[in-house]
Formats: sequence, structure tokens, C-alpha cells
Amino acid sequence: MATEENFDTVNGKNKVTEESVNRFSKTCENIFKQIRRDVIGQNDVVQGTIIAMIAGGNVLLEGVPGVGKTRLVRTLGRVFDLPFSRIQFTPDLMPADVTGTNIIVKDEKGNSSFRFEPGPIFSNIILADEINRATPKTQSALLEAMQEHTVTVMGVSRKMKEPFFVLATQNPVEQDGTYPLPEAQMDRFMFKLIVPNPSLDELMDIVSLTQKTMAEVAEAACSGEELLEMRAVANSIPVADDVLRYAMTLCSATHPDSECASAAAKKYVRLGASPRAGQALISAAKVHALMAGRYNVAYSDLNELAYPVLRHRMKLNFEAVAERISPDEIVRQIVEEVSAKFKGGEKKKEEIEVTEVKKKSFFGKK
Amino acid sequence: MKTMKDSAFRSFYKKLAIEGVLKSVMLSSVFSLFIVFITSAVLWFYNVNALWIAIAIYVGVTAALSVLFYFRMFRPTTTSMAKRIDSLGLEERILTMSELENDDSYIAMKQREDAIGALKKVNAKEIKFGFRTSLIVVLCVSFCLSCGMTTVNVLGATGKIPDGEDFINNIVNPNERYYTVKYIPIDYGMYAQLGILVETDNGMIDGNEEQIIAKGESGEPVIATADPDYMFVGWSGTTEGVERREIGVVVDDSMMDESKKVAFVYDDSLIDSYYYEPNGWFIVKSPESGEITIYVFAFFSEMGNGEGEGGEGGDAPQEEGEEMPSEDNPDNENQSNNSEKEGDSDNDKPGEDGGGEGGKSDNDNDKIIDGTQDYHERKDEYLKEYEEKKANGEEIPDWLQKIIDNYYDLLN
Repeated sequence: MATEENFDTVNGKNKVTEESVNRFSKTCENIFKQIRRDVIGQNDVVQGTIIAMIAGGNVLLEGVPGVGKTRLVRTLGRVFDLPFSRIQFTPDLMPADVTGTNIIVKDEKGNSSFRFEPGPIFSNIILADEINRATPKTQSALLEAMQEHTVTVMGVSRKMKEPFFVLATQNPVEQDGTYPLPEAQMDRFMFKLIVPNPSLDELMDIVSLTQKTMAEVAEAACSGEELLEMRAVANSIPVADDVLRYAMTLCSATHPDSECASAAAKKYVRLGASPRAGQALISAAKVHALMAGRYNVAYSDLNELAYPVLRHRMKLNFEAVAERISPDEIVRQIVEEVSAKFKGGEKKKEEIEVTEVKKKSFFGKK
Repeated sequence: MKTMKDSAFRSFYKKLAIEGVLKSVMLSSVFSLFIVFITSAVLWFYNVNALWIAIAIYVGVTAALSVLFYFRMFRPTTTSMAKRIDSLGLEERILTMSELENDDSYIAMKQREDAIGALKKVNAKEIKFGFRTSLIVVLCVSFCLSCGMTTVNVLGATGKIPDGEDFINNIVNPNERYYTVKYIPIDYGMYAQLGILVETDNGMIDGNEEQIIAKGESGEPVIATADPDYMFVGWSGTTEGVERREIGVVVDDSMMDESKKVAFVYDDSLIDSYYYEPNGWFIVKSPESGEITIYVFAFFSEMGNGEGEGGEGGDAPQEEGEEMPSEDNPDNENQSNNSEKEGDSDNDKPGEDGGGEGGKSDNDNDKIIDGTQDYHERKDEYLKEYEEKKANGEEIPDWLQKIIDNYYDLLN
């Protein structure tokens, strides 16, 4: 049964109205329209990023150089009309360069005191460019901000402005001098999106566009407040119990030692997805459903989003590496297996279901 | 809204209710067919015809269980219906709607509207009956087993096949399923005069002398062929003619009656044999292996040996009622008595007229087709003549061709 928890509120009150729902659709439409002015193709990546941003998640974009990762993030910064910071991660970048630090200042009387100088992280949209080039110590500086939306420096916690997102990019090649993101960091990204090379047509359009001007022309289509309202609307989308169970089964199936472990996980996965994956999957699925014009989450939403949610949360074992099995292939196998198993179980359950529901409805009493 | 939803659901409910009834009947049929199988199997052992009992059990049990299964398992619920309708491509709209039935929030209302709108785009005809393959397979297997068992039961009860007990016995004692039949040429003179069975070289069994025959099956035909100067007298048993074949070989207890046991020996192994008069069988059952061997004797006698034996020929020696052992004369004493009497009986048999036709046998099977000359006397002559003519490329006379043809026909 869908519960009250499924109806998220803004400031404790249910503010989902017809107007807000309509506004959601229009704003989404505008966001896509504006992004397409600057970003050619990459529809799945654009959609994934927007879903994550509406759902309040961070995104890790992975792709070879030159496919438009940074440009996409910059465009998003403009389209959402939010303060935007770009941090170029390098090996010599220090945590204080990200979070900010206390500096000694002298007041009018000449007394010295510490004053906190906020780092670039104190913004709404953070572009962590080439995040894997910084040391783990610096990478870890983002951990607190990404999850709790606070930054603690010298024992003082400071709250980030909402909405807050980290959009990070990394290059899957040229691994020399890079530091793979630790599991804890990876887990804090709602999605890991693979940015593919553009198709031939897209490439032609990109070249044609950039020959005219390199200027980015996208305009603001959504404010921070509107984004928060969209999030509230999406959060109110109900999820049927069976659908919720299916989502959680998908996540649990990535664990090789869980009771519903899939065969693929048992064979290829050393460490499965954390509970954050379940939260991310449901939150994203709600946005995905609403963007599709539906007011409920469907299995298809979960199947589609399982890839960006789970692919970076599984630690593969040696066998997977030796057999060159990609995380996406494992997710595909898990989705197939869980889908078949779950629907089989669903049928079974359906057949043995006792008539509790019948009592409440016309159909059961007939 | 509820009314709207209910009316939209009604046609689906009807379809799914039918499916539920069919599933209930199928599942209960599996159980009832299983019971029918067990009942038929048990009654097969008691040799009781279970046809009507099986039908009654099937109908009764199926009816009772169908009701039970329908209301306990297969009756469509709102949730189960919602899932089935969603399977038509409604993307869990109906399932979510059924869970948000009592929710008055705006989003729940929008979801209901969306779901009902989608529901109107599909109809009940699109839902196909979904039966589990395993259920269908189990039902088919149950049906075949129960029908098969009931058929076996009925056939067993009507005596067309063995009942359960016999069937098991046949499996437990496989030796009883096969018999060894041995055809043995016997010197009729020794038997007639001394009452003993002595194997002779003066005649032979043309064909498979030792046959293993399945219970109830028939053996291959054999032909008793006498050597020159000898003639075939007859078989033990009622078979007439030189050809003999055991048909539908079955040894039952009536043939193994202690009272029919004879001490009339052919060799030591027959010391515990039973003589079965109608077939002329001497049956020996091995106490160790239970293997049954049937001995059939072909009697041969020297031609011209029948001084005083001439006269009208009878058929097989046992038909005289005296020369072959029976329960009435199981011992040697009786046999010697019999041999004393053989002066009469044997005169009728192989001895012919002691001269007349040159010692020709009255037994048709021992004559060449012209009926005047003994087969053994002239066989070699005819064959030799035939082969010479063939070798010289001469034309074979019709009479000779006929004799040779008949000779081979006889052998075949």
C-alpha cells in the first residue's frame, strides 16, 4: 500500500497542486529546450543529469575528452540559473582549496582574528572537472558536502545553499597519475553517466554549430526555487508496494551474499550496491515517471535507471575483470534475472493471495 | 470515482473469474486424477473393475476441490486483477491506483484519472488466459497415468491381461515369463517294449530343437524326419502329422499338479517332471532358478520292425491311451504292463503291414506324395535322379518335379 511517506512535502506541507504539476511539465520542457541550444545529442546523458538534479542527486560523467561533458555541465549551470563553481581537480589541489579555510584578518583595532573564506564548493552547482586527478584526500573533501550538504572546517559546520549538486567528470582513459574514486565517494553519486561519442549526424551538427560561434547561448529556464518545487512534486509520486519491492530486490541482487543475489552478482561482484542505491533508484524513478507523464512509478522506470544507479556501486571481482565483463553487462543480467524471478514470484503470489483485499472492494465480494 | 473504476473493471473481472475457475478445475483435476490412479492401481490387484468408481471419484473430487481452490486460491482480487491489467502495457498504473484507492490527495487523484484513462484504452479481450506450463504438463501426465491405469484395471478385471498380482509375479520371477521347449527324437521300440525313453539317432528334428518361448507366445514349427529305413511314429501329445508347433505356450498350476508327476524318466532331470497330457508335454521346473523346460518327444521306429505290428495305423502313440505315461500309470510297473500290451497298439502304428506295401507307413506324413512309397526309401534316389538331370541339363519330368517340390514344401 502506498503510504503517506510517498507524499513528500515542502516545508512540511503538501504543496502539490495542479498548478505545480503543470509547472513541472513546462519547466522540464524548457530545460530540455535550452540545453539543446548548446548541447547537440547526448540525449540520455542530458536526461539523466536533469533527472538526478531534480531528484537531488550528484552525477559523475565519464567520457573520453572532447565529448562535451564540461560544456554540458556549464550549460546546466546557466539553464538552472544557479551560482556555478568550477573546480579543476589536479594532483596538487588541497582540500582547503575546495572547502575554503580560515584566514587571519585584522580588524579596525588591529586585533587578529580568524575569518572563514569559503571555497568554491559554496555554490549551488559544482563542476568537479576531472575529479579523479586529485588525491584521495582532496576528493574526500567533497564527501560531506555531497551527502549532508554541509562543510565542516575547523570544527564549524556550514550549511550549503540549496539546491546543491556536484557534477563531476572523469576520463576513463589516461589513467596515469589519477586516483580512482574511493567507494564512499562513488556511492555519493546518484548516477554515473557514460558520455558516448556523438553519432555522425550529431558530429556534423556540432561542427556546424561551433563553426558559427563557440558562445554558449542557453538561457535560464529554472530557478532554484522552481527546482525545489519540482523535486517536491516528483517526491509525491506514489510507488506501489510491489514496485518498491522490485526496486529493492534489484539493489539487493547486486550483493553476492544476499538472499536474493543474482547469478551474475555471485559470479562477478565482490561488493554490491549500498542502501543509497535503493534511495537513488526510487527518487530518480519518480522523476522519470513524471517526466514521462505518468503519476506512478513503473517497473520500466526502474529497469531503465538501474544502469546509471548501479553501474558504479558494484565492486567487481577478478573474474569479471579477467573476462572483461562490464558493469553494464552485469546490471543487464541482474535486471533480466530479477525481472523474470520477480514476475514469476508475482504470479505465484497472485495465485495464492488470500481475499483480504476482496473484503474492501466490490470485486472481492462478487 | 470508485463506481467509474468498478465499471471499468467489471469485464476484466469476468474474464479473470473464468480463468480462475479453469485453473481451479485443472488443479483439482490433477488431484482427482491422482486419486483415480491410486484407486485403479489398488483395485487392479484385487481384480475389481474400477471404471465407474474412477469416473465417480474424478467427478466428485474435482467438483469439491474446484470450489475449494477457487475460493482459496484463484478467485480474482483487486490486486491480482490490477497486475493482469497492467500486463497489457499500463505500466503499473492500475496496481498503483488500487493501492491509492482511499487516498484523497491531488497526486492520487491525478494518478487515478491517468489510470482510468489508460484502462479505457484496453479491453478484457486482450487478456489471454494464463496457465502455467507446469500445471498443464502435470495435468496431462496425470490424465495419461490415470487413464492408462484405469484401462489396465479394466483389462485386468476382464481377464484380457494379468491382474496386478500376476503382473508383479512376472516381474519378480522373470523366469516364469519364458519357457524352454526341447524336441527330442525317441526310440519308439525301446519305449514300446521296455517303457523307457531313449533318445535315438534314427530320426531327427528338422528345425529349432530347443526354443525359448515367451509366455503366451508360439514357438517355431519343427518337422520330425526319420532316417532311411525308419519311420516317424508320432509326437507325445495329440499333434498329428510330422510338423509340430507349440502355440500360446503357457504353463499353469493345473499342469504342475503333484498327482500328475511321473517317475517316467528320459533322463535324471525328468525325474520330477510333470506330464501334461493334452500337449504331450513333460514339464520340468528347476527348483533353483524356477526355470521351466518343456520336453516334447518325437517317436521313431524301424520299418519292418513291426512284425506283428502291422495293421491299421493309428495316429500318435499317446492316442492309444496306454503307451504314453499319464497320472494313471506313473510307474515303471505300469509301463512294463503297457509295453506288454503294445503288441496290439503298436501294430496299428508304425509297423505297417509287415510286407504288403514294402513296409510303408500308414502315416501320411511319411509317404511320398503318390501315397504308395515310403518317403525314406526313395528320397535319396529321387534327389540323386533330380540332381543328375539338372546337371545334364535334361528336362525334369513333372512327376519328379512334383515329388521334389513336395519334399521341400514339407521341410519348409
